[in-house]
Amino acid sequence: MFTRKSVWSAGGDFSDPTLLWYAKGVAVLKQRPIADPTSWSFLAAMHGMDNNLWIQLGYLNATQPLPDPSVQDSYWKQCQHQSWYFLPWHRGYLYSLESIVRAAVIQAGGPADWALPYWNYSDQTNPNARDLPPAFSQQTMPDGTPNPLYVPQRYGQQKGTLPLPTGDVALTALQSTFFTGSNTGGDPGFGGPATPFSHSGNTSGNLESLPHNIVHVDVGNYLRGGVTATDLGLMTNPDTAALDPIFYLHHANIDRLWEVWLNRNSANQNPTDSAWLNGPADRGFIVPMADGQGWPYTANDVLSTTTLGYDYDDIQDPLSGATARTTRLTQLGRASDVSFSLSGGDEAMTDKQRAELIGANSDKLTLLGSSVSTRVHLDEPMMQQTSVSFDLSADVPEPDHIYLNLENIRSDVDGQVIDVYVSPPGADHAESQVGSVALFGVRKASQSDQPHGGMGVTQVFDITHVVDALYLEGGLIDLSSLEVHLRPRDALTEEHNVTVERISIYREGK
Amino acid sequence: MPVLLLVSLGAWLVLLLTGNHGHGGEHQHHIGTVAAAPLLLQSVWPWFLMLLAMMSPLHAPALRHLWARSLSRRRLRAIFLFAVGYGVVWMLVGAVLVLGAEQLKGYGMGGWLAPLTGLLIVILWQISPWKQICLNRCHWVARLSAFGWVADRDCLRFGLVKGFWCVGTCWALMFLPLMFTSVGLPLMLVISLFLLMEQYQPARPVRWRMLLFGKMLNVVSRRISPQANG
Repeated sequence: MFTRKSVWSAGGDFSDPTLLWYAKGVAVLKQRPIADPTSWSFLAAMHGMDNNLWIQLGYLNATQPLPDPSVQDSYWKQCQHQSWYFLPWHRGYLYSLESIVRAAVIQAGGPADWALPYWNYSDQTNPNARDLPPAFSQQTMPDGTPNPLYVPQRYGQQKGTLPLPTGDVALTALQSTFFTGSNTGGDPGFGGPATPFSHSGNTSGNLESLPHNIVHVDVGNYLRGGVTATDLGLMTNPDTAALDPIFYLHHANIDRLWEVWLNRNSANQNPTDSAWLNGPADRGFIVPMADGQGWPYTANDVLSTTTLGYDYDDIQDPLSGATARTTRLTQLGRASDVSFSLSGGDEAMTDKQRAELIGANSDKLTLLGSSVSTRVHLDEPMMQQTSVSFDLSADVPEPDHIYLNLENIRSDVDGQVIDVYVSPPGADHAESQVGSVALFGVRKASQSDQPHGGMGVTQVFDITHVVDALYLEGGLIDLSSLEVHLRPRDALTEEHNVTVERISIYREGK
Repeated sequence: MPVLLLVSLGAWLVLLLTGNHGHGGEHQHHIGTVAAAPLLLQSVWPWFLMLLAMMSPLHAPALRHLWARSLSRRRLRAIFLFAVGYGVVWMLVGAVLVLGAEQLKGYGMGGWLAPLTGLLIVILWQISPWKQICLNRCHWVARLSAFGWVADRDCLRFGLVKGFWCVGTCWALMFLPLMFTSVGLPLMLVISLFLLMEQYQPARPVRWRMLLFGKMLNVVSRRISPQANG
């Protein structure tokens, strides 16, 4: 059993043999030509690929022989996003990379039990957790040779913005109560909505949104000044993200959080749908192993880390068992309902259409500058129904959850993080931040000749706590609208061309 | 989707039972000599049935969008308005296609020239970049206002725009059964299946490309034997 350890377990620098050997393994992989399935470039292209951009960044030579087109079709541009396949696909992908690096490490005289470390940026007991581990930022190895873990394009044209902001590494996703969510307005679920093969999609699952997407953009950086793809750091663009060696440590942590979620509550279960376990039907997953041979796999093959021969040194629950439901019911003065038993196990929500629209804004929004606000009008009859669910005598496990949808966000560029706030109408009401959306993969999702035909991405925020507070203040019957404020961390211009087709609010019964 | 399949099946049944395939195929007339107005009148019902039969299953994504993004009480209304907008476009285009097929057959005087020309036109369009542009737009969904008359307007507009892109994608394939009326019904069935598979392809870069058979065969074989196709 290989054990994946925290990158910080021995200082995060080259005094840790795990990192020293990772660097040496990466160096070996980087020497291999792109046509070799065990090369750094081939593996990175499996996540995403943009030939022209890679050439501009110096990661591809126009004269290099590429793999056979049928190999490219099977292996490349495979990463799964905005999909319930997000977690299982990346688990298989990491397994491949780790096996290949381990083989290179062993060949170079390193330890046979080398395992990929993970970057736990959310560890509140470690004041350095949110920093980039030093092994990745120093330009040379201890022996003076260039450090393969350092990449000049990490931050694009900008300086780094690390350490990661605290809010960007929050673990609220761990409080999700089911895996398969919805892409029709309600809770996206821990693992994301049911989809076919999804190289890019519409709605991200909760873990994918936070911390996954935001950490990508925080590391690769935002756009200040420049608006071309070459101005971005590698991690901000899904087509270049896996070229940065920190990518795999980030994803190892995401993979670890999947284990943490399953472990923290027996009600947290993986989907049992055959479509998830054995899919996708339209294009299969396949990754190379150390011998260069392909390993076709499905979610069923990666249900547990131990079947793949590895575990994590720490899958303790960082939230110490706290559930959103218990906290919420207590705050609403319904502590006696806490024991109301929830139906356990995963329920595939996508086709059940449980979420219902309760309001929307009136116009498409173009995001310019540092702050844009819009009013979401709420439907009176639907608000009455929502109010009823808050009624103490209602026979429901808990009142409705309320979700804010930023529908069909489109952008000409990746690399922005937009903080989202909600407030009731009226100048004297404080705003509550409900989350942030990172533009990771949005550029491609906005192009009409890419798999989803240019529909952009839809970001969903749980704003139940805002509505709860309004209920406690004076009820919901008279609530006719909510103000939504979008605050890009860097001022947006027309060149960014960031638009939100519609902003809407949904209720979802539990 | 089940509702759409039922609608489609219902239309197929009516087509089968009433012997309507193509445009009033029962009626004898000299090719190319039929006046436009009577021809169009004869064709309205069969064409409408063709649309229902062949196009209904393609609209699952659009209907899901209308359903999910409308207020609950407006859902059926939203779908109805969408269907009206969509139907209007196709009925108008249908008139053009029916007349066009008749005209083409008239030039050919009943021989093979007309059907061959028709087939060539269809193939050229199918492999053209313009067809791919339209097919990519099949993924498009409209912004739907939530309240008031603008909500109705948006649903109607969704139908009209969707109809426009759908015409661009499918007009050539819908033209084929009008040319080959003797094998109308079986041909329509084959085309329907082809349209369905085409619709569920992801959007792709626009260029001249060969028919999608290769990729579709791959999808079909994966569904039949997923393990063997690894």
